[in-house]
Formats: sequence, C-alpha cells, structure tokens
Amino acid sequence: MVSSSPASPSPKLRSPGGVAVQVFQWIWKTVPFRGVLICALLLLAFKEEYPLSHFPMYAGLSTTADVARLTDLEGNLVYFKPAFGIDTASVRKMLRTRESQLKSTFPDVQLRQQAAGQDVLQSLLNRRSPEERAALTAKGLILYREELRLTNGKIVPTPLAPVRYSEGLLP
Amino acid sequence: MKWRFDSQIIPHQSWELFFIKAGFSIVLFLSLPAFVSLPEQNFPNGLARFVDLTFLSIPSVWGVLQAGTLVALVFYTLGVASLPALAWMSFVTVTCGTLQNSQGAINHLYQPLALMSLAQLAVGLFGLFSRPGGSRRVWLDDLEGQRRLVHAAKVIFVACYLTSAITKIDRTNGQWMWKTPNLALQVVKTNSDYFHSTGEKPAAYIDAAPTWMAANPNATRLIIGPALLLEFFAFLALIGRGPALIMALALISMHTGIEHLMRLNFWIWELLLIIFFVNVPYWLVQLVKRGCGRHSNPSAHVAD
Repeated sequence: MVSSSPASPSPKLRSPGGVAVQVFQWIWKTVPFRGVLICALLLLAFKEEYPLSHFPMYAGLSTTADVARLTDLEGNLVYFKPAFGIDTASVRKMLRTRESQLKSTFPDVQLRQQAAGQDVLQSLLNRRSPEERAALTAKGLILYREELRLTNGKIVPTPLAPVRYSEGLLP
Repeated sequence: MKWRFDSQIIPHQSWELFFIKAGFSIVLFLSLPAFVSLPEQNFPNGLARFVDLTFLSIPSVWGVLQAGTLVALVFYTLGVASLPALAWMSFVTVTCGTLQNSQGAINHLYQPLALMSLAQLAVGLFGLFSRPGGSRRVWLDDLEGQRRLVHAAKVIFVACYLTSAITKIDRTNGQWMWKTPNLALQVVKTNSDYFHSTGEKPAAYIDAAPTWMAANPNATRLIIGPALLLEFFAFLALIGRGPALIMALALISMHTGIEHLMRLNFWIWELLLIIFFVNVPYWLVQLVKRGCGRHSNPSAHVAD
C-alpha cells in the first residue's frame, strides 16, 4: 500500500492575482536592466509632472520655431537676464503656455498673443522690486516675436505683432 | 562569480562612496540659489496643482530650507541617518523644483537631482521594510545599504536618457536621425535666445553652423544622429566601472558639443556623470596603485 506523505502539499489552484505576481517575479529575475526599464516607463507615463518628465527637448525636430526680443520704446534692446533674471527660452515657453491657457478667452490668435504677452511681461515685472520695476518701465517695453520656418533648407522669418507695455497700461 | 548582461551594483569602497555622495551634495547645494524669488505659480505643475508652494520664496522659509539642506547633505555624505537626510533632500528638490517649473516654462536642468534623491529614498525605504532584519539596519547606513542607494541614483539617471531617446523616437515616428538637419532651425533659435538673454553674440563659426547644417543634411545626420543611440544605450553604463567610464565620457562629449552649438546649459548633468560614472578618485587610486606596484616589483620593471 502506498501512503501519501503528510509533508507533501496538495496542489492548489492559482488565482489570477497569484499568476500575475509570479509573472512579475519571473520578469524581475530574468529581464536585464529591469530597474532602468521600470523607471523609464514611469517617466514616460507621467510625461511632465515635476520631477517626472519624458524629456521632450528637441524630440520632434519640427520645421518651425519662435524667437523673442525685448526693447524699450526707443528701440534699445533690453536683455532678459539682467532685466528679469530669466532667459529668453523661459520667456518664450511662458508665452506659449499662457497662450494655450487663453485659447477659450481669445479665439482670435492675434488678440490672444497680445494678451499673453501683456500677462507674461506683467508676471516678469512682479518678480522685481518696485524700484527695479520703475526703472524698467520708465522707457516702456515692447516685446517682439518672430516665427521661423525651415523651407527647402532656408530659414524664413515671419514677424508677429509686437506687444507694447508701459506702466499704467494694465491694471 | 558568473557574469550576466545586466546592471551590477558596483562594490564601491567606503571612501569612493564618500566622494560620490560629497559630489552629489555639492551639486545639489549649488543648484539651490536658483530656486528663490518666485512669488507666483500661475502655471501649476506636479505637486503645485494641489499645494500652493509660493511660501518657499519667503526669505525666512528659504533660510530654514537652506540650513536644513546643508545639515541633511552633511549627514548623507557621511552615511549617517541617510534616510531622514534623503527625505529632506527629496522634499527640498521636489518642492523647489516644482515651484520653478510652475512659472509657465518647464526646465529640465534640475530634474535629475530630485529624481536621484527620490530614487535613493525609495530604495532605502524598500530595503528598510522589506527585508528580514531590515529594521535593525537603522537608516541603511551599512556599506551594502550605501552601495544600493548610490546604485538607485545611477539607475534613475540613465533611465532619464533612455526616456529622452524613446520620446524622440515616438515623436518622429522613428525618424529622429533622419530629421536632424531640422536642428539647424533650433540652433538659430537657441543662439538668438542666448543673445537676447545676455547680449553676448555667438562666435562666427556658430553663426555659420545652421546654414552649413541645412546645406549638408547627410553630414549633419552622421554627426548628430548618433546622439540618439548614445542616449538609448546609456543604461550600458550600469554594467561595470569600465563601461560606466566610457559611456559617461561619451555623454559628456555630447553635452559639451550641444553646449557649444546651441548655447544650452547641462552643467548639472555633466557633473553628475563625472561624479557617479567617471568616478575620478577610483581611477586615480588605480593609477597610483599600478605605479607603486611597478616600482616595488623588480620583475615587473624588467618586463617593461
């Protein structure tokens, strides 16, 4: 007579959850660089929620770009870094973000660009002390933007309407 | 030990870990002043969608944050109470970085500092709670625990490069390398940005670069295209000390090239590559050991 050993466990049906755990364990033991892979998937999933990012810098390599510059009313260049402690790239990004926020308020593109420009200049001025702000706005400010387009190996600029800012113009 | 094509936790000596963590701490502390003077968060991102983080710009709060960070960094560097130190470092880098990225202009310069702090904290907490006897290894301050923390920082760092490569492939339907001549436009843009930020004009050869790139698309593809492969295979830096050195030097060269051409700033990324992957102190010690070995071993001298 053959007796079954009391120590040997009876076979159990595995639940789907248990199978999933086993699959995950198999992947964890087998797939190389799994830590990197999981981190990359996490970064890609959340896209742009600091500190997570999918790092989209120069990913699209589009054929259009925009540039910006700031002058006073007399046409003298005002450099962003010494004036506001910020670089031009950040100002451009702020303009684009503000424009997308104002899409429903200003369906007209030109009006939207004007409003975004005013808001961003105001926001930059708010970072400065009252004295610095007064000095910056004494001669007024004009924000110029251009859209660049790469066509047949040539870069063609298209100027956008300039945004004028002077103290008292905005509430 | 059987070698496997996988990431390896490098058996760093305690003095190596000290230099790596000291380097990380210095970079993190140097990056802090950039976070001040932001009284608004008009374009909330990340945590700022739920919490008003503008209180971080209050000078007294900022003073406390800086002082606390300095203390945390000293503890972290010395490998004492690493987990509370990492919790503080994660809090400061995440909140301040979030506030900075809630101004309407997303910036990716400081991201690795927050990610590396968080990854170390996550691995530390996991190690603390998941292993038998973990709770006895208070704050993971033993050598093995410290190696795991540094490895976690390396893993998330190379994952950033892989993510960037995947995004490039995704956004261009796999044609990123083919489209690199379009970068000519971005070179014009970034150099214009730099001039209108600072008043400094680019060098003549940089001014001529976009025209050359547009006129020589195949040469541009050949020169710039490999950057994608470099980013994609950055994870190979985790295989061992040698591959880490090679990959890091290649990535630093890539960053330096982009810095020259596009006037963009990667100083944090470059320093982190030098600290965690080039690992200068280790290779210097190896050189010195080799030199001493040759002089103290007459047969080696004859063989030369």
